[in-house]
Amino acid sequence: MTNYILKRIFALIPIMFLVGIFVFFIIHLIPGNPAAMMLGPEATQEEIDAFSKTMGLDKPVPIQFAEWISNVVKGDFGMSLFFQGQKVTKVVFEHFKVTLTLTILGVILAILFGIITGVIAAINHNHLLDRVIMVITSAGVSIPNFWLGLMLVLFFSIRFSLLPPAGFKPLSAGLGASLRYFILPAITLAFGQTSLIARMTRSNMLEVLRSDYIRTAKAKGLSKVMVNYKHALKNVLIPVITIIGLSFANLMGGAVVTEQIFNIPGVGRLLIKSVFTRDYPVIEGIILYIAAMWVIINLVTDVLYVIIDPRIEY
Amino acid sequence: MKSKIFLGLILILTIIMLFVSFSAAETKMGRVLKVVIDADPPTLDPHASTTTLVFVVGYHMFEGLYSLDESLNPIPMLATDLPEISEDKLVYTIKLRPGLKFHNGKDVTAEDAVASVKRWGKMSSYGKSIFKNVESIEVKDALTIELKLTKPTGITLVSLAMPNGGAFIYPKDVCEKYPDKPVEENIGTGPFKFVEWKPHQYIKMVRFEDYQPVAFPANGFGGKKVAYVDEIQFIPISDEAVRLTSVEGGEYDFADFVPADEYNRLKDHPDIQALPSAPRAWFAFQFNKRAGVMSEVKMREAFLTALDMGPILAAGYGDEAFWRLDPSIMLKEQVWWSNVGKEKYNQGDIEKSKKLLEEAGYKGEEIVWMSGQLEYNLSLAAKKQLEKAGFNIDLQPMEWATVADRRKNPELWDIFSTGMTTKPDPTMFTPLNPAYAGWWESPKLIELMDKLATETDFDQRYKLMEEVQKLFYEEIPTIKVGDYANFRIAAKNVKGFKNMNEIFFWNVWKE
Repeated sequence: MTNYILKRIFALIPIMFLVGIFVFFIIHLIPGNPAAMMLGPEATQEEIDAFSKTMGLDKPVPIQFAEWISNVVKGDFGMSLFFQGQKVTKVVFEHFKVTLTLTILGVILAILFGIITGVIAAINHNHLLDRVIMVITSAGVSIPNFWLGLMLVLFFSIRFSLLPPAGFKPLSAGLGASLRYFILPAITLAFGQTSLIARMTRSNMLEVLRSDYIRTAKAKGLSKVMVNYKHALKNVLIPVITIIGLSFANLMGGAVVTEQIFNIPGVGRLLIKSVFTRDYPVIEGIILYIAAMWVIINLVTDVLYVIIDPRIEY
Repeated sequence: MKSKIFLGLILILTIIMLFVSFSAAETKMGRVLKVVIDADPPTLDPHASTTTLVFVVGYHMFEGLYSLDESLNPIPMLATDLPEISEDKLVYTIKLRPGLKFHNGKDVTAEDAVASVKRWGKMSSYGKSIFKNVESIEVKDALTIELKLTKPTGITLVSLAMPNGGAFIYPKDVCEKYPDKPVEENIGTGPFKFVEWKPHQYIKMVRFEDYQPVAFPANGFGGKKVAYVDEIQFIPISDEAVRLTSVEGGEYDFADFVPADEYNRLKDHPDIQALPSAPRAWFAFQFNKRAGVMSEVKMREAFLTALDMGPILAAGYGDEAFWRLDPSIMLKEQVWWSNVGKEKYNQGDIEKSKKLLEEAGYKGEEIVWMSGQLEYNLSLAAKKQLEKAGFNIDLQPMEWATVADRRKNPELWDIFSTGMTTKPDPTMFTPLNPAYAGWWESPKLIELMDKLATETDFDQRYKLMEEVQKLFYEEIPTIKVGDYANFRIAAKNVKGFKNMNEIFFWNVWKE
């Protein structure tokens, strides 16, 4: 097991390296120049060229790459071209904290409601409750984030003034104050994931409930609760965990749309903005971070399998 | 007896009035003002960038020797008065106000001013053009500087006064530390001082307690400035619908660039002030005059002749509160406004355009038109009109960074859409700069612009500008579609806001 984990962690190095090369050349291939974005739309080409030079952007791309990669190996991701003297690591970390909070909240909501509604639907298979849950979860999978987010803002913020429509307060401003800003975005994020988890849980649960060992358990005279929650649910969780792992990794890469609607300074927004302004070092930093997140979260998911299902071995 | 009662009444009234005005003054002070802007500025150093947001955030912290009044004419700011100009119009003597302090507590001296203006001359587009003509700039005494020109020009003062890419004064050591890169220490003399910039979250500044306002009342971007609010936060929100909801939902106090479509719904809203800005720019289709089909004057004439500007502007800006038909290169609000060439503007004459195309020998070659997302609706509306006249247009939507990159190569495009932001003087105005992408390199224009730059008498300069405008409608380097404003909203309790072409928040308080 330890060997396996170590092996996976070492595998990170070539993956990151490949991603790094790929991203570096892709973003230098797309048209655009950070100097032009910085100087404004009315700058002349002469000024843009001069400014590119002071930023070191006039060097050939392979040389820029060599400089960048040798710094990255030393753990130095460089400075943002846009934000006054701020290191890429600092900029990304600041945004990462926000994304992490939002993701954790969203995933907790999704797991909680997803599994509960999924189990309820399965137990009441083909009854009214099941149908209602299925309709709602179908909607949850299909409703786009941006629409749901705006509707929540319309009702909870503008109509009833209960929650702030946009913005963000860090946890250091107090848990309550900070949470208020996260409620609507977390619901927006969680709605789709909840539906996914609920549907997954339901179909797996139905399958498990039809299996022999459940019939045996029922025949033994075990209570319904024991059968459903102790024997059935545990075996439902493996595929559900895969889904949870995927959505966690997905969200950690930044919930771009949700962050945009609620103006939350997370990784997704940072990425979009950096692409528009061609802040090369920041884009590279974020992509490497997202790649690392995927690898790490997949690893954690795999380890969780072992904990939940002792039959699995690596 | 009666007069005693009368006197007594007056006394009581005076006391009440005093009390009221005092308490009003007291309630004006304080609170945090949260202003939504549409993006993070690329830097906070106005010497380094002409992007509007840079100086809009910047001029709360920084001030120049001069500023602009309501009609965009220069007025003193850190200087005591307009400069003393020698008879040969070559030497400008500028005196600084005594007792001015930087945010770091140090006195503002002529050394700081000279170092800053020199840095501006090296970094800013406007500074560079002025400094082509500067022989020297020197410290005369602790509070006096002397600027010597090589030949007279009428634009030195206005260049020192304009906020866009403006000659703001920084401490000398900051200028020396950042000679060719944007400053990273934001120390100025303005009514607010810099606290913190958290990318994508806020730029925070607080009242500068030692601020020294000028003696005359507020006027345009200058005059007396009071920091009523304790703190201003500029919050970047890139989505226009979110900018709107964030103020409508009561989270923030002010937002610029909200969707104009919402104007009719918001103009009678109980909690919101709907504020169409003063026209601040005009919308333009810029032609490539170096290569391709549009480098033919006849083609450009056919293009202009076909266009009916009203529907194009309505497609982009909605309600008429936000746009205006006008042929002038300089805006109606400015002393430079002129009607020359109006017969060529806004004709919408498809038949005539067809004829002109025929004369030009146009055979349906594809015309590549680059348009950013913001400009797309307007470009599309124009394309529909032009197709009726027989133009074959390939309208390519792309994000601004790509437009900015591709436009430098004349082989790649024929037209791009953009906005041209007001400048106080025609010599600074982007479409009249032969080096600007599109390259209006007409010898006639260059000659006229040279004259405009060196002439100092306003009436003569105005006549020259009218000639430039005449040429503009003969050679058609750029299509002026029309003036536009943007939509701003503020919470009802935001008071004292002066709705000019650009936003600022000194003299603004919250009730």
